[in-house]
Amino acid sequence: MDSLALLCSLYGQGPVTLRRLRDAGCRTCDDVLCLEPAKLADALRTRLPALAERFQREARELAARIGEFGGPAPALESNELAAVSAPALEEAGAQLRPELLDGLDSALCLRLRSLGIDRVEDLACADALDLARSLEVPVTRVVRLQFLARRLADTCVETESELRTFTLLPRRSQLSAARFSPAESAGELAPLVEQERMEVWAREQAFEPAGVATEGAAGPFGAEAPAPEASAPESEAVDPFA
Amino acid sequence: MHTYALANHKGGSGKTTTAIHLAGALAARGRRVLLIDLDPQAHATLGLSSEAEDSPCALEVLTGEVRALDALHAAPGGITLIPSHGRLAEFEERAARELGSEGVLRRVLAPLAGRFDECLLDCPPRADGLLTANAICACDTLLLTVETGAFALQGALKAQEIVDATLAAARHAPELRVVATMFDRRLRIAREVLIAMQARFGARLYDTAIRSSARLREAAGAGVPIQLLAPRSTAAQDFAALADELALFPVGA
Repeated sequence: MDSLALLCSLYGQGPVTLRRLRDAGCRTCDDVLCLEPAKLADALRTRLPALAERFQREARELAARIGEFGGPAPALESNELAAVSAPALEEAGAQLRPELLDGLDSALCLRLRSLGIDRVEDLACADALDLARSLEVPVTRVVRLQFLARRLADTCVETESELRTFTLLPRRSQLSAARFSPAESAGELAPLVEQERMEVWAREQAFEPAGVATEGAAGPFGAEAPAPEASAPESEAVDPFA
Repeated sequence: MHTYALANHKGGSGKTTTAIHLAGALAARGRRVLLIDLDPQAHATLGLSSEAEDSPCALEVLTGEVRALDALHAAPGGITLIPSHGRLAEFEERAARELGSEGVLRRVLAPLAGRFDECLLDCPPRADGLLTANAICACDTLLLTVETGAFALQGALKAQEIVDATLAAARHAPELRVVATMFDRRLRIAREVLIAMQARFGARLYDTAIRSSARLREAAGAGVPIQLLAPRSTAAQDFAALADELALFPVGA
């Protein structure tokens, strides 16, 4: 399935729209963007240029998501992967110490050690709820620390590589920024994206019921899809990769 | 004769529905289509208003008791069917005791090669059984039907693993293609899964995603392919487009 067929399945009438666009000479999402709205409206057999403009907007967003032009998605992805760098992985088996994880102060570090959690790996594998009760701290704080610990451990790398295998999905915030300044977006957005992802992940770990993810965030590794037709019923936000 | 096996490790992924209506779409193009129901649940047989209570079914063909030519049924929509029956489940048990039982279907289908243009094999919902192994060894193209819902990709990848292992053992290399089924673009999860499938399977994924449709359920109830029940429906359009793709990109292309 090429990007044009994907676009037509997601936002058009499937094979009918695909055939019309191919007849008009389109082969990719980029080709759709290059067409004049009036010509695109003709190709789509609609009299409303606004519909054609909307289709182009959807094509632009999809192209950004699958990295068809400019490559903002792969660039962001490689930045995220770079965050789990080789030197950091060496710390996975290291003794817990305050400077290793953001939010881990020396008092908490001592209390963790008193519970037998000496290494980053131990923290990553511990039961969050039990740990929160033993330490008498909010479970969200433990979950956040565990997230950072897992980033240093191998498990996180597997997750990241799985993500890369399955899909290239930047977040909506990335998409918006990439649309206006693709070259600058990666570096500037990386900390924000990381923070947002961590917050969503922490909320999920805090046993919030499924389907209550915040608007604009499908999950820790998911992304908000562009809105469908206004009249169409929308499902709850679900992360297919969870 | 090109042989397509529709398989997945996961049940409810649209194998039987795709088999029936794709066969209908190919037949509507004047192709001579044979559909073999290899699922002991016999849903493809029922979906084409047929039954094999007192007549030969796929079991008798596979065990050599009846020639494939003698088990052919005329089904609605110009499709020729080798039906299934609950007793087909016995094949797994019987064949497990024999060496090389994965190649049985390929051998029994050989005499039909000149009689049909396309042969569709509707597999049971497990990829690690002998019936599916037979279908894999007999096919030229393996069609993984993947529902655009939760856990769909995991099921498809599991099926792909099993298929790869079966093919390695059988030294057979059919083309692997993927078709997305039950796609409802109003659902966010369906859109996300389709995007993920496109990223995962790329050119192996057919351009046509089969949309979910109430008409398909009605067709199953009526026991006819969608081309007879609602030829102008979106479902009929989807299967027609998929049939076009099969014709545009034949085996080996």
